[in-house]
Amino acid sequence: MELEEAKKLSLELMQTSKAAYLTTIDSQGYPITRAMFNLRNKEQFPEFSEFFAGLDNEFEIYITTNTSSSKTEHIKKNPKICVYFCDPEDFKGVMFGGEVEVIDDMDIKRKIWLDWWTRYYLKGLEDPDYTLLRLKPKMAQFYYRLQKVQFKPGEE
Amino acid sequence: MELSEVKELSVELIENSLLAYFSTINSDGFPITRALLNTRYKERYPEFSNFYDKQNDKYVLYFSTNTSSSKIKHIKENPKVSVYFCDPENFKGVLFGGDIEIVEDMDIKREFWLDSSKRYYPKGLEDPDYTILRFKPKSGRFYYKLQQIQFEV
Repeated sequence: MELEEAKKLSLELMQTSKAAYLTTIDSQGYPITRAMFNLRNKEQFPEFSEFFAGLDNEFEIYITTNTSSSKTEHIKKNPKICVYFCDPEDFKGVMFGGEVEVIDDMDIKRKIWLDWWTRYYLKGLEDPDYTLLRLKPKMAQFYYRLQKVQFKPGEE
Repeated sequence: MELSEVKELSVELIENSLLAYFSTINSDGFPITRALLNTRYKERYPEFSNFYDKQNDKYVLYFSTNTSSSKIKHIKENPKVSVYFCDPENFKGVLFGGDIEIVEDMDIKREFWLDSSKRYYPKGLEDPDYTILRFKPKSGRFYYKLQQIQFEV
């Protein structure tokens, strides 16, 4: 498979995967995986399509979470994470790895906010329990059936 | 949610998931996740249910993989892994953590050998590229909507 093809299919997968599988490392050194909202899923979150289309690095990943969650605790000690997107029926998957950042910039947080999220962050956008994470991935691995293609996301 | 219910739902999720999300840690200390076929998925692998029914540990999981794969390299250096099953539509998931082992026992390797395995291991059951992994989880974490329940396995 050509690199360009793998990149194109990876972007498609990011826009259709039902969840983003986030893996952090806990204080004992074990990986911990859980499903998160895939904010790039066009069907589930059409509100954010424009934001993602305007990114300089088309593979940037944003994840919202509670500041009080265990994953926030993990990444404070160890920012190494990976995020996996997949289409289980077609045996297609893509994984991105790198160091995650906590975004404090309110302008960005405002762009990644929906009113119904008060269900998770009672006090709204300004709730100190609302955390926005960003991964500018350093590496990517695309899997399709028995093939595996590695690439550097964001590099031409 | 009661612990007994959590355990029951966890086993249900294991037995009804096509894939298991398998995470290892690479030599640079980054987690690496990929989907693997779940040998406990009853609909796809009825051949293995008898074997699993006979096990004492109801959370034990076996995976087949290529000896030459990156995950084998990772686990030889660091056996700490996690295995995650989920039903994204219902916001339900279960995560197991523990140390994984490479199984050398030919009887077990034979249990997990299928005719279709030749596609991955052309030399057959004795192919040195055929590896079976056994995972006896130490801890479990069940996620349902906004709840998270930890349990000992």
